[in-house]
Amino acid sequence: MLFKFAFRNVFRQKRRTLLTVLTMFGGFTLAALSIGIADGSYAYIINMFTRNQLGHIQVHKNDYLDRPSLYKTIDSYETIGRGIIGLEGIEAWAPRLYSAGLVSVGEKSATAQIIGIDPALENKATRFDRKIVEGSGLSPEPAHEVVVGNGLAEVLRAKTGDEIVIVSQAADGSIANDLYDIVGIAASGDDMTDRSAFYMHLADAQELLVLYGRVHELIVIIDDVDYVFEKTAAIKEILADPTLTVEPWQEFARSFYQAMQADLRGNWIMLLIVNLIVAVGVLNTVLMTVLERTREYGVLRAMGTRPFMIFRLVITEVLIMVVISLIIGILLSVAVNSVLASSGIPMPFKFDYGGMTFTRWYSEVNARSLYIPGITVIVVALFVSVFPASRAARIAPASAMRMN
Amino acid sequence: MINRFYSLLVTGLVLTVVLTGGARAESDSLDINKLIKEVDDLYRSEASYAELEMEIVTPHWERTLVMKSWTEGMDKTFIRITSPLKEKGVATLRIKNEMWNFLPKTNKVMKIPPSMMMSSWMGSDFTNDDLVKEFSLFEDYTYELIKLDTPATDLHFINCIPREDLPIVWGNIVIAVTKDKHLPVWQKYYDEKGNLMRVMTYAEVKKFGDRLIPAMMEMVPLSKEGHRTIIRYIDIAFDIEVDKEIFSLRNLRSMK
Amino acid sequence: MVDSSQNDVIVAKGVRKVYSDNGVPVEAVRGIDLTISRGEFTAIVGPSGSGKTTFLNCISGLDDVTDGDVWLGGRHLTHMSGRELSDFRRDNIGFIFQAYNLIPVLTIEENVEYVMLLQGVSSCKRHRRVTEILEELGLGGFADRLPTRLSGGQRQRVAIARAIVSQPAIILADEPTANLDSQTGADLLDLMRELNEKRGMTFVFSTHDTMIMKRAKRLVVLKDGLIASDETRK
Repeated sequence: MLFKFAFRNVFRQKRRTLLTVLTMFGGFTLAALSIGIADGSYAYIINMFTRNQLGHIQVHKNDYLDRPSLYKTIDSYETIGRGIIGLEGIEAWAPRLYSAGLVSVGEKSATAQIIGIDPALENKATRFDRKIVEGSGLSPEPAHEVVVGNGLAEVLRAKTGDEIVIVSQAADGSIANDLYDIVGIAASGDDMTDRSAFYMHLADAQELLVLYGRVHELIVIIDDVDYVFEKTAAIKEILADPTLTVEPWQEFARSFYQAMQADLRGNWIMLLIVNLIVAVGVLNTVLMTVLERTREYGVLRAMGTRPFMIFRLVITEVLIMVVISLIIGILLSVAVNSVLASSGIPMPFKFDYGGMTFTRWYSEVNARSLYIPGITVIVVALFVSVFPASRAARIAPASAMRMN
Repeated sequence: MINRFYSLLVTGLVLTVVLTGGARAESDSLDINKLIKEVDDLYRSEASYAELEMEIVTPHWERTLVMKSWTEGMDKTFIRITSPLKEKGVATLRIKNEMWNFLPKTNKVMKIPPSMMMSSWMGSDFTNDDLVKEFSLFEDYTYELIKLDTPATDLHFINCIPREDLPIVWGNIVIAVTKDKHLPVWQKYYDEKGNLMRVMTYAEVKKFGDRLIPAMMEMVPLSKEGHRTIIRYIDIAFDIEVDKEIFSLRNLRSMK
Repeated sequence: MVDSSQNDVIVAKGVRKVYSDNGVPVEAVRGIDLTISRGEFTAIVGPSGSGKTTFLNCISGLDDVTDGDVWLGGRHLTHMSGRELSDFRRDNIGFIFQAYNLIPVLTIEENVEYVMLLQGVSSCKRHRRVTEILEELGLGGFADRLPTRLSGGQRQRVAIARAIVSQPAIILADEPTANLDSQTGADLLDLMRELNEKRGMTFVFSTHDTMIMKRAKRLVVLKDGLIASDETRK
C-alpha cells in the first residue's frame, strides 16, 4: 500500500519526476562512463607498457634496476627461461641485454641504448615485429643487423639499408665497436625509448659486449594480469636464487604505477561533482514536493498516520525514482561502455602519458563502473531526502484543517 | 662511453702538459706565483711527442693500453693506441673543443657529440670536458700556501680555488709540491661541499731531455670503489717540431 | 478528576489556546468548558476569528492546549505523546474537511479504507466494509475511480465514508458544506443526520452555515474565544 501510494505519487508531477530521474540518470551515467573510460584507458595504458614493452614480470640481478651495471647479469638464462615458461599461466618470456653506446651514421652521432633481444622470443612476448614501421625485423639468426628507434633514426638521419657504427665498452674493458646494417625502424610508442633504442640480435650484442651467454633482464608475459603477484611468487619459488630479483610491473615500474593510481584517484572529483548534481536535484524535488503536499500530509497525520510512515512514504518515492534512474542508467552505461571498449573514441587532442602518445580512449565494462556510481546515487539521494522527509513527518496534523 | 676512454687518454696528455717544465727554483724565499706557474708548465710545451702506457683497474677487469701522443700548444692533441691488438689503431683527434675518434675495425671516423662531453669512460672520473677545457692553475684559480697536519716536512701545500666565473666543477684542489724541485707529489680534488672526489698521485721522477718530471701518475676516483688508472710515460720529448699534418682528419683515418 | 461518564464523549475543561502570530501571542481560545455526549449532533458556530477551528483542533487532539484538559472517549488527551495522539485519532475520530482532502492518487476505495489499513484490518474485511459503506452512501460503482472524476458532492460523500468507516466515537466536520451548492449541502447534512440518528454517531461541526445551524440539535456559539451561548433543541 505504502509502495503503491508512493509509486503513484511519483507520477503526479510528471515533469518534475522526469527531471529528477534525468538528473540521477545523468549523474549515474556520467560517473559510470568516466569510471569505465578511466579503467579502460588505465588497462589500455598498462597493456601498452607491460604487454608491449616492459613485460608483466621482470627478473634481474639484485639491484640492477636501481644501479644498472654491465656486470649485473643473469647467467644460464636459457635454463631459467625454460623453467618459467613451464609454469602454468605463463604466456611468453624474453631475455634482454642492455648497454649504452655511441652510434653514428655518416656524419651524425648520437648516444644510444643497446638492446640485445632474441627476435623470436621478443616477437612472441612483446610483439616486437609489430613495432617495425619501416623495413623489417631482425633475422632469427644473428646477421649483424640492427633495428633503430624512429626517434634515433631521425637524429641520425638514418634509413633502412644504412650502415651504422656503434662504440661502447665491452665487459672485458676493451673498446666495443662494430659496423651493422640497419634493417628496420621501430616505434614502440614510448618516445624516450624510441629516441635511443638500438635493437640488435642478442647473440650479436653478447659478442659486441663480450658477455657470452649472459643477459641483464628476463621479461615474462602472463595470461591474466590480475594474477601478476601470484605468478611473481611462483617464479621466485622455482628460481630459488637469492641473487635474482623477481618483480611484478607494479614494483619495477613503480613511478608509472603510482602515477596511474593518482590518476584513478582523480575520478573521485568527477564522482563528487556527480554527487553534487544529484544532491541538488533530488533535494530540490523533494523539498518542493513536501511543501506542495503539506495539506495532504496534514490530512494523513490527522487521520492517524504516524510520522515515521510519512517519512517512509517520502523516502520510498525517492527510492522509486532512484531505481528507475539506475535501471535506465545501467542499461545505457553498459551499452555505451561496451561500444567504447571495442572501438574506442578518438580523442580531440593527443595525450601523452609516460612518453607514450594516445589518440583513442577505450572503455571497459566492469562491476566497479556500475556499483560505485550506483551506490553513490542511492546514498546521496537518500541522504538529501532525510531532511525534507523528516520535515514532512513533522507537519502538524492541524494544518489539514486550515483553509487558507 | 667513448669519451670516457678519451678522458683517460687525454688526461695523460693534460697531465703531460701540466707536469712538464723545469723545476728549477730552489730559493728559500718562496714565490708562490712562480711555484704555481712551474706546476702549470711542468708538462707544457709548444709541441710534444710522447709514448705512454695507461693501466686501468676496475673490479671487473684490468688492462693496459699503450699509445703515442702528439700535442701542439693547448689546442691540439692526437693520440693513437698501439696495443693491445684489439684497439690497435684507434685514434683520437682534438682540435679546440671538437673531438673525433677513428675506429679501424669499422674504418669510420666518429665525431663526439656535445651531449657526450660530460660522460666518462672506463669508470674514471675523467670526462671529455676535462680534456677540452684546459684550465690553468695560474690564471684560473686563486691559490695560497696552507699548512697541513702531516709529518712531511719537505712539501709545500697549496690550496687552489677556482675563480667563480669559470665553469670548473671542483670546489678546490689541494696540491702537494716538493720543496726542493717543486715537483707535484699529489693533487686532491674536492667538490663544492668539501668532499674528496679524486686523488692524483705522482711518482717515478725521471729526466726526459732536460726536464725532470714524475713519469707515473695514478688517478683514484673516490666515488668508484676499486677503480684506478695509472699513466706512465715511457718516453716524452718536449719542444720538438711536430708535423702539422698530424692534427688532421686525414691522419686520423690513416693507420700509421 | 472530572467525572467522564460513559456518555460524555468529549469533555473540555478550562481549555485555553495561545498561539504565536509572528511573535505576537494571540489567545484564540480563552477558557472553554464543554461536554459533548454520545449521539449529539452539535454545531459550533461563530464569526471568523471566534476560535472555533482552534477549539476543534484542541478537542480532537490535532493541536495541544495551552491550559486546561480534554478528555475524549474517556481518555485524557492533554498528556499524550504525538504518537499516542496519532493512534488515538486513528481509532477514535473521523474527520471531514472543508476541502474534502481526499488523497488524489488513491482510488475511492483506497481513500476510504486508508484508516482501516492503518489499524491493520485484514484486506477482505476492509473490502467488505468499504463496499458496504459506499453502497450505503450511494457511491456504489465508484470504488475504483479517482477522486478527480467525482463531483464535489460525491467527493464529500467519500469523505464522510472515510470518516465513518471505522466507526469512530466522534466525527469532526470542519465546514463540510462550504464548497458545495446548497442542495448538495442539504443532502449531505441529511445523510449525516441520518447516520446520527440511525447509528447514534456523534457529530461535531464547526461552521457558519445556517443550514447546518438549523439542523443541529445543539448549537454552541463562540465569541472571542469564549462560549457565548449553548443551546440544545429538540
